[in-house]
Amino acid sequence: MTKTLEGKVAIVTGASSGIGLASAEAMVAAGARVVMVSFDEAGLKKLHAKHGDAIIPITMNLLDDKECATLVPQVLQKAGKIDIFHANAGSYIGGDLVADTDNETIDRMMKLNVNVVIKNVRDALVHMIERKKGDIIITASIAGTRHPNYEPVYGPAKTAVKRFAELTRTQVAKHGIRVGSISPGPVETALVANWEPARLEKARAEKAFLDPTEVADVVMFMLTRPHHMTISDVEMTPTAFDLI
Amino acid sequence: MTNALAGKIAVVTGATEGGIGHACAIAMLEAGARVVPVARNLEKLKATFAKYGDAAIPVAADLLKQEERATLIEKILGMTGQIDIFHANAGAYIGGNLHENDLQEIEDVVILNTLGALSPIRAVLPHMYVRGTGDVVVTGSIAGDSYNPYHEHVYGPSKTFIEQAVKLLRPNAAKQGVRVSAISPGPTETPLVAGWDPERLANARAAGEFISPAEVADALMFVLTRPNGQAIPKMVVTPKAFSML
Repeated sequence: MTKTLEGKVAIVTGASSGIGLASAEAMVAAGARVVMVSFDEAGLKKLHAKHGDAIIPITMNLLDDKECATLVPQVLQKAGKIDIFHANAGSYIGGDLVADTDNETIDRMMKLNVNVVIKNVRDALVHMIERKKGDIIITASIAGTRHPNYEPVYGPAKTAVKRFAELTRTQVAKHGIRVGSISPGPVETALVANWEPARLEKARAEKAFLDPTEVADVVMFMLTRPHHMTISDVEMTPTAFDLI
Repeated sequence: MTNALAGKIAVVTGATEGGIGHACAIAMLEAGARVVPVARNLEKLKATFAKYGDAAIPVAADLLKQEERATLIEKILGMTGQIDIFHANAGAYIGGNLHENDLQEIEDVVILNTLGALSPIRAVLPHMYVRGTGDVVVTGSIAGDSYNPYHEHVYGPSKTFIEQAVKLLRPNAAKQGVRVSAISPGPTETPLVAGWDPERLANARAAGEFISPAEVADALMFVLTRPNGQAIPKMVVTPKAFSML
């Protein structure tokens, strides 16, 4: 790959595994310096050993309000600027709303998947608006726009951040900033550990999974468009995905 | 991007010079495909694609005519024997107040944008199902799913129709190995913008709120070159400065 992101500083939250890891490593390969944010300290340590100075690991619990607020200031102190913010960290709840989950778990998931995304993006925008440039990418999900009856909470949480991306895009375009979302179908990541076993087994048998690196290819396509053009959203699914 | 589509045969409707279909045909030709550009005027098509020699196989069709919508694919298969990619792109635009719109023009826009895509898709699917492979792509529009004051009460729903048709067709076509996708562009500098409200057009030009057909073609190429197991049901591409939802 040509070094299309040479000189850029990117932040990826939820970067120690799954889509975040693939996205961060694709950006490193494209020449960016990538701030990898995760609560998994050991995972980040290994990644730091692998990538050296190309990455800046930040261990953080984004659910902690005080820690969350320090993310953008920390990055500005360590890297001096932010060109790309990929708000990717998220968690999953599936299954029956009453039988399979509880209100505390729902609170945490909503906070991580929605509030943290909005707060992180808002903090990054203050800096990007000053510089009159920047790219925001938000990991939404096809669950936000289709009809996954086993995801009555996760689905709407992803609807919320996709809509947040759409409406924020129209506010910040005048500042030279692009905002886009990605809406993947099932991706083989840590999140599927919470799927109902029968659904997981069926999806594996049908190869109804995307690889995180395929999602990262889409992120790179979005980031490398000419600057006057925005990819607002990309839906991507395994071809064999049977949800409408 | 060279030769990513070598050995493939692609059909693009609405391939008249200057539009999205024209740019997509060129992108696929340059990626090594043989391409059947379709439009009403055969002489113009031949002139536009002459430089590609045998790789371009222009075919004339008027997709406003039911008979031609129904027989287009058969006619092309008679010439090429195979269709790997069908890009249903032909479309028309109508703006202006509904009570002032011409009834015949409304009907033409609706027919072309809906059945002009769906009828040939219907005809090409059996061929693709037998082969267990194929890509169907439609040119939708952000107008199919947006809120705006630009008098798109006819054009918008016609695009909603085809995007929704694609969405509901996709899971069943996938079972037969065929991928179905929509590319949903925002304002693109094509001959269609001649139908825009003049004030909107002037504002958009002043603000640079357009993407180019070639940039939409880049999105098409990205969709077509995904690995077989991966599909892009929909990609929304807009000018950055575009403020409509």
